Amino acid sequence: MTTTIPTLHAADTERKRLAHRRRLRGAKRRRRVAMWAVRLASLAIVLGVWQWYGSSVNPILFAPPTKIAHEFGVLISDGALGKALVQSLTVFGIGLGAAIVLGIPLALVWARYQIVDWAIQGYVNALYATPLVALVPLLILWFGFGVEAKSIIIFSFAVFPILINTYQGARSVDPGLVEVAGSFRCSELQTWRHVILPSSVPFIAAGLNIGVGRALVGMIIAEFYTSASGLGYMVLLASNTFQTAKMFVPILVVMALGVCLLGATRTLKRKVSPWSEQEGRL
Amino acid sequence: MATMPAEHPIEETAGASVECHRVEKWFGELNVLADVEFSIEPGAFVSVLGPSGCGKTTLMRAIGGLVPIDEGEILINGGRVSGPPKEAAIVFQQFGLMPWKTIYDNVAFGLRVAGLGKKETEARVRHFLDLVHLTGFEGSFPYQVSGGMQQRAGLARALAVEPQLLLMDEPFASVDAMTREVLHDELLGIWERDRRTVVFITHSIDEAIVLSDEIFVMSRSPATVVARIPVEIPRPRRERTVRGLPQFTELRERCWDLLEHGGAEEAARS
Repeated sequence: MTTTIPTLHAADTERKRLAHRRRLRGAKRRRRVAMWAVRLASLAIVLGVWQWYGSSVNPILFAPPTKIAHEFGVLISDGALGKALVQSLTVFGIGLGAAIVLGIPLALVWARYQIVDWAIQGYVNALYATPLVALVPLLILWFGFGVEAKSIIIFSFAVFPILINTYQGARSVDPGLVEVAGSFRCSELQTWRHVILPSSVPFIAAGLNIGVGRALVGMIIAEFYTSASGLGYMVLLASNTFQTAKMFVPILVVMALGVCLLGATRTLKRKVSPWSEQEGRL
Repeated sequence: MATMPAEHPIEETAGASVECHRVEKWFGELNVLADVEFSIEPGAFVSVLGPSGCGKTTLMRAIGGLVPIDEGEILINGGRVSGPPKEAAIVFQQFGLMPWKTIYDNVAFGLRVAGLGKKETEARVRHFLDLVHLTGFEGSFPYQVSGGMQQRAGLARALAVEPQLLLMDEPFASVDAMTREVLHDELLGIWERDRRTVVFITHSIDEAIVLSDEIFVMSRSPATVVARIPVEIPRPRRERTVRGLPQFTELRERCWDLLEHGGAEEAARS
């Protein structure tokens, strides 16, 4: 004997499904509201303590947020901040751009030809391990104090992580996939296009992520040591004249710049290589 | 030789012939293939059965021109293999799909590499996706679909270049048992229609019997073909019906004996 189980009407199931979806959405929204509430509360506390403490100590040592905000307004309205930002971003762009444009192809040649590998691997690794700040005085000696020198300093900071990551990407390509390409009689060029390059993309993006961070460090250092321009010099000048509140402005701008750029490269990595987020399932 | 049941004669075959003459292969000091000698008729489905690690995959890779052999020669349609031959396409054990390409682009891969026109490529890709029941998954990436579907794409990619010789390297070893049975039946259906020559590498006796016209049993390393067992089960076949036949049990026993004789019992049981 068989028992029949009463079946739900289609309309019923649909109604239940919708109700469930509403519940899920509600839970998600509550979670998001809670997250932002905590974040804002935390920010309010940090700013509050900062304001209280910053106002109570010697203004040469520290500055409260209100004063920093005031200086921020002044520096924007007199155009100094905008000018410094443009100067900084110019050398940053040139240095990082050159690191990408030269670094990636060089790394690919390096990965592809054993002879190049033997010839340059030692230098690249040694330079990558060197604290590049030590080379800055030398670079200034060679290239002067201008945009050129600054760009070269930033380039030297950014190029090594890009170079090494791209190299590792091209080297760590799955030999099975290279074999697949071979079995379909791919030419060398086709193998690069269909297998080696795409497989290196997540590595290149990771190198870019590190390279951007290091380029920012290089930018500030270059502006500390070379001619008077950019956000780095703004920090230095304010510090030398004991205008602490003013000093915080370019620091916060650089901080925001770093957060945005690193976020952008992380997003780029997710966008260009969605499969690499799923490595475990391959 | 491959034995065809009378009710399904081959009028014409899209298949290639394969011959191995005294093939020998060494990996350093290790003799992997010794004196491998056989020939496969155009349009035959041959399984190469042997214990894991015996060198059967090396044999397939040698036929596919992916590894050079040290002695002897391999001929496809009478031409000596010295690199991946244009007649052959391989279905890989680990699927070998490009994770950065969609299912569609993976299946189109061989056609694009060969420089086929856009229209023709699209028509063929659609046809073969349909054949392996992947229509609707064109835009998915391999990691978004199941292992069985990934191997369907691997099969479609190989079939799309219309090879005369299909080399299959334990293609269903990494999918679950239920999916494997479905894929066996689909492969049988596809193969029975156009009869390309197939060299199917496997360590599963059952799989070899269900699919093949003939089974080459290989010995342990150094591997050589120790027996050729014709499978005279009429086609069209389907896994469930074949498994119920008395011939199936007989063939199974024979293969077992041969493999045990070759000292390969533990491997074949896996």
